[in-house]
Amino acid sequence: MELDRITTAVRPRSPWEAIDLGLHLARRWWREILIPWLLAVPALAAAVFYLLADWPLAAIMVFWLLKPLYDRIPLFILSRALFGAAPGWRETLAALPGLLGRDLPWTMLHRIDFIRAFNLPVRQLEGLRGRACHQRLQLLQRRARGHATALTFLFMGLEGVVMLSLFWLVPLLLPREINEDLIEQTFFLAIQGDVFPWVLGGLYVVAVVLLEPLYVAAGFSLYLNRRTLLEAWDIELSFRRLARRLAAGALALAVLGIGGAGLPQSALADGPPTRPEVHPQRRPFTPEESKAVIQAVLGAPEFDARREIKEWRYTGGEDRDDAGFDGFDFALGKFFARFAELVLWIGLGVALVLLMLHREKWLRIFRSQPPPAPPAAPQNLFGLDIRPESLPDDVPESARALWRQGRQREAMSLLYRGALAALVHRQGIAFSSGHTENDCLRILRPLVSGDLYAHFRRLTRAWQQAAYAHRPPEEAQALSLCDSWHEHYGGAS
Amino acid sequence: MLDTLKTIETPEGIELSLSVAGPLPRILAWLIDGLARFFILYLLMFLLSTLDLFGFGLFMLAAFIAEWFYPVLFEVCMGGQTPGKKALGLRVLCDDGTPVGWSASLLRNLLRVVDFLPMLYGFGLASMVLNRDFKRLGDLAAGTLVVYSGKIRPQPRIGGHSPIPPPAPLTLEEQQAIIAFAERMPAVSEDRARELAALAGPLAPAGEEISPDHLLGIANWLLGRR
Repeated sequence: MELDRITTAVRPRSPWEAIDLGLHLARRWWREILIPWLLAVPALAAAVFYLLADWPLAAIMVFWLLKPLYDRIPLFILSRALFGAAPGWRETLAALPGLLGRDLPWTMLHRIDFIRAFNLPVRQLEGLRGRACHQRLQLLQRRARGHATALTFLFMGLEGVVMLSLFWLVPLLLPREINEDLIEQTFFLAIQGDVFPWVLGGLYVVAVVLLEPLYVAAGFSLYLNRRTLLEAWDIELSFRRLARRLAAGALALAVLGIGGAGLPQSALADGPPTRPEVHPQRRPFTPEESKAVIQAVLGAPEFDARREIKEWRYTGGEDRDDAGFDGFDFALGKFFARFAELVLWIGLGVALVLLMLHREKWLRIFRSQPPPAPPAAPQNLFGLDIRPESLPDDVPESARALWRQGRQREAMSLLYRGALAALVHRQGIAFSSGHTENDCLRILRPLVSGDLYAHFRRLTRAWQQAAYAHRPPEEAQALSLCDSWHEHYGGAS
Repeated sequence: MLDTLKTIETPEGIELSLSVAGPLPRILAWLIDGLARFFILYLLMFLLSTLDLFGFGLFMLAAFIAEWFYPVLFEVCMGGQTPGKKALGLRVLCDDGTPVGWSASLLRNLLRVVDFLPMLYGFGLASMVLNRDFKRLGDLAAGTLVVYSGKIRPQPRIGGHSPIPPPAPLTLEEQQAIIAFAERMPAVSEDRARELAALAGPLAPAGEEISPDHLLGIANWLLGRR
């Protein structure tokens, strides 16, 4: 078995999904199955019915008993097709004698078996016998017995459905013009004592021809699913691919003369593996260039958001005369109108009474309520610690020192944190921990003077540029922010 | 690759895969619904028989509603699941993966008459077997699918092997395979587990043989238990 050549998607499935996949298998290779199947089974049926012509019911019985024999044909084809080697019909026909002749008595011994389709692959494909076969079946059936049994019984039912449907299809398709008596007579004849077993036998053979490949395929698929689970076929396939890929990668590295040694191991393992690598020759875009690229992409037809809106507009109407009503309809309409009016008036009365009865509930809305307590000042905003204790005494001076040491990001961070802390604790602005930088700006705007707002805005932008774009502000701007810090966010603290 | 999945693309460009359900579980679900309806009507008949002819009239109405609207009501109001479908883990959806509405559900259930022909869903069975998405005629007309609703499994526990970083970056599929290996180890025999681990040889620690435990360590690392 070469798992690499399997033609179905391999993954553990629920038993019902496995059965569905079996139907797909049969559908996918119906051409390969059709010719050998149509040559073998009807021929067998004809032989059985010819030999037992005097006892047609017994013939049906024998045909039913021989099922495990001809079930081997679709299984033979499917088991090869599954690994990409679907046999042609000549090949199958050549294999037929060996396939059908092999240990007939032993097969018949196991004829009464409610999970035949599931067990068949173990007996036919794995070729196990006796005790080994028994143990193997025990293991495989452990989680599949219920569904395999249901499969068998459902297909028994489906055979009945197909037989009934075929039987009823004939009168259904006969045109009405044909003498109905004739139809009735034929029908009556068909279910009469002498002919009935033959009709039944014919229908049964057709039902078996139609359904048995599906049944075998479903059982086979259930068996495959069980083995996929027990032997982790999907994992085997993935590991093989992994080994191939890594081997190819190692080879490429070795050829380039770099070798694995030069690369730090942890860095290799840490990076998200699917990220496309930046081409070494290409320098990253500047912000202006990326803006231009973004605009170009947004200008593409995919982003052209046009919508068609339909709405009703009053275009000035002509009066319609209601002369079309005849007297009776009109009177009826009037009656309904009166009735509806009465209902509406009663409804209004009921609503008023209800309002009176429930006045306690809704009057409360208009009473003044104590204002909700202000929420506690947050400890940190977007990951910045803004407790006053966490800040140095002189914020701008410390920030200036950090700037001079070249730690520009930290300097901006400190300035911004200090400003936030001052706003929250000294001015009582109600920021909450869920807010973003822009939320803070928006909240602040109506609450403070324009000067302070403008300063805070500049500070926020400088911080955002430094924090998220790694572009610290110009030195002059940073120092001016430091210089004017005290004047906006209050005395030395 | 032959599979039972149907992939649909949402307008946002996201690919969703639905596992379409075949005829056999659907037949079982139909049988369960049929039995439920039968018992409800039987009980009703029992109660309404006390009301003489008027009761008979009411019963006829109830039978009509149960026959035609039982699946529709459940499918629209209970997220695409009649009790039988719920028992089998099935769900009705529109072709594009959206929930079924009144019109689609009514159409697919009214057309049961056609699927039922010539006898006991003969045409429906033929249509389901021949169609790629196991649709019966009512499904084809209404543009609906029956899918497995899928349960969210609790994540199986993986033994407490200390996390080991993989020696090379792994693709998503490879990471999933290693985690699946760790999760399904208990169901696989020991010999087979060693055999599988040997296939992932390139992940072995330098100069050593690879063992299933080493892969468990990598799985723990991939799952973020560092």
